[in-house]
Amino acid sequence: MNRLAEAYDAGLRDGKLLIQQCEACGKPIMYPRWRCPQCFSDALSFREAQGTGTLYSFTVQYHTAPTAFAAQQPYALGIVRLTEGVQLLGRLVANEDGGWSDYRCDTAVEFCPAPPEPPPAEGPTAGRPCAWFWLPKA
Amino acid sequence: MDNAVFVGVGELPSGRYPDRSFMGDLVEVAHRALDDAGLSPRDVDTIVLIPCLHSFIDQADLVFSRVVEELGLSKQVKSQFMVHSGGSTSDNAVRAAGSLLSAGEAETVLILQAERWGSAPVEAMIDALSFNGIPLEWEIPAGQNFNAIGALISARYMHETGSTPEEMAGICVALRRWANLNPNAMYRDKLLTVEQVLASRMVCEPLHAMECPMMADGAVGLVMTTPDLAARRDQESVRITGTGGCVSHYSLGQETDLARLGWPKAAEMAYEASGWGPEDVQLAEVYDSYAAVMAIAFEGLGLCKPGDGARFIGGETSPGGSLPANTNGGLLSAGHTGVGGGTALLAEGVRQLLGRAGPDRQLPDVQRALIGGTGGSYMDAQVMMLERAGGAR
Repeated sequence: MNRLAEAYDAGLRDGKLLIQQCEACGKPIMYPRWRCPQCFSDALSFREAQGTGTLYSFTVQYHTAPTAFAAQQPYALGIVRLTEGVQLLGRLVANEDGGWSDYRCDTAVEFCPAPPEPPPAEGPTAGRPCAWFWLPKA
Repeated sequence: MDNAVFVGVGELPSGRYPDRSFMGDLVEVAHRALDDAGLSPRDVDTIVLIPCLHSFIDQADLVFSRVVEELGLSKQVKSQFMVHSGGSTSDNAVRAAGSLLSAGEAETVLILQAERWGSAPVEAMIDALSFNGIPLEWEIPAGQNFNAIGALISARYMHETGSTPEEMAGICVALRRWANLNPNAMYRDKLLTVEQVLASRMVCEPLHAMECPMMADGAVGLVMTTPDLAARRDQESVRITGTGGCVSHYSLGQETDLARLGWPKAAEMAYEASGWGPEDVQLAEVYDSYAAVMAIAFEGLGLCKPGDGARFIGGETSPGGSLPANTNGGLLSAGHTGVGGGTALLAEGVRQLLGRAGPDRQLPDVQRALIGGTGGSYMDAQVMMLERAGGAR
């Protein structure tokens, strides 16, 4: 991995969702980049996201996952639009019944700092974390 | 691309053909395409390869040079190379070949594609395909993969348009009706109903198994030349009246308009360049790895009303409909031949315009066709406007 991914992963392992910020133009950046895609500055730093957003789209994977993820099926993937105005792909925490029927497109979601499931120990990204999201607690 | 025309098409059946081979298929479709054009391999001065996905070695061995030797063209070909943009490769290969012809850098170009997906181990292919258009740093750790990409697009499309599961399945059925008329289609002899699609197992919500493309072996060859040479050789030909393109994203998680993608911008560019528009399209051959991918393209191309893509394709594009589309059965029913899925759609469009699609599915009096391609995580939208150029049919 590279230093951007290492910093991002370290944040996730600490229960924090990090996004980049451009020191020159102030814009938030996601996914992490080597230069600001708006003003092309290389003065970029990480900050912690608020952790709130909406679910843009999602799917529940029952079959045909890559080998490393086959044992985790079913699992849910969602694209989340963060309050900061950037978006990312992450995993969705299941409801208490083990399904995802409470999730809808455009519903509010929050970053889950303690994922319910560890990353696969094998495969191309063995041991690497990802961002998880869940429905806000009432 | 004023100085480039298609003059020949060759194709092998798509499906599972363990007895065929990668190199054998490339050589066979080369000869079929050249025979179709009435040419010999010795007429070719440039060879463009469309990559396979079944094997890293078969891509890394510089296959574009090997075919020169295999075809007996050592010291006779001027230039040989590969073009790669995933599922839209055929559009970009034609863009490259057509530009070389128009610039006087080439006179007769052979474009070749072969894929062995159908005969390769399924799990290894799923793993390999799940690197295409998915950032290793940011999305693979979540378990992103090709069917999930199709599902995320489908879910958003259905949410925004109110298209029902039945309407989405209707696209698959419309495609199957064309495949049933195509002897080269993987599912040529299997009928399909909406009920069957919705009764198949849920793979990646909202996609059922029969809404996911089946990996297939397949091979296509195309011959392009200049209009002058085609006239001198008395060849029937198809010209390119305009193209448009828009690269919208790499990571699906970064796409901000999943239900539109790059189609509106690519369409505007292509219509402006060609001087004719969506109302003039008599035949559409549009990338359809998933029903929503095709519906989104149809809407962005202005071939139907916004939000009406699924209903329109299900109702109007199958045999006898007002706007025939994907008349080979598309990727969903002719078979997903990797990068070749779009190549097969292009070949079908050219074949229809040349009047060589066979008695069962040849459209009467078709003069104008639109080709739409997209690749990887549907990261680009490519549009090519084709017109029958001349020669006695």
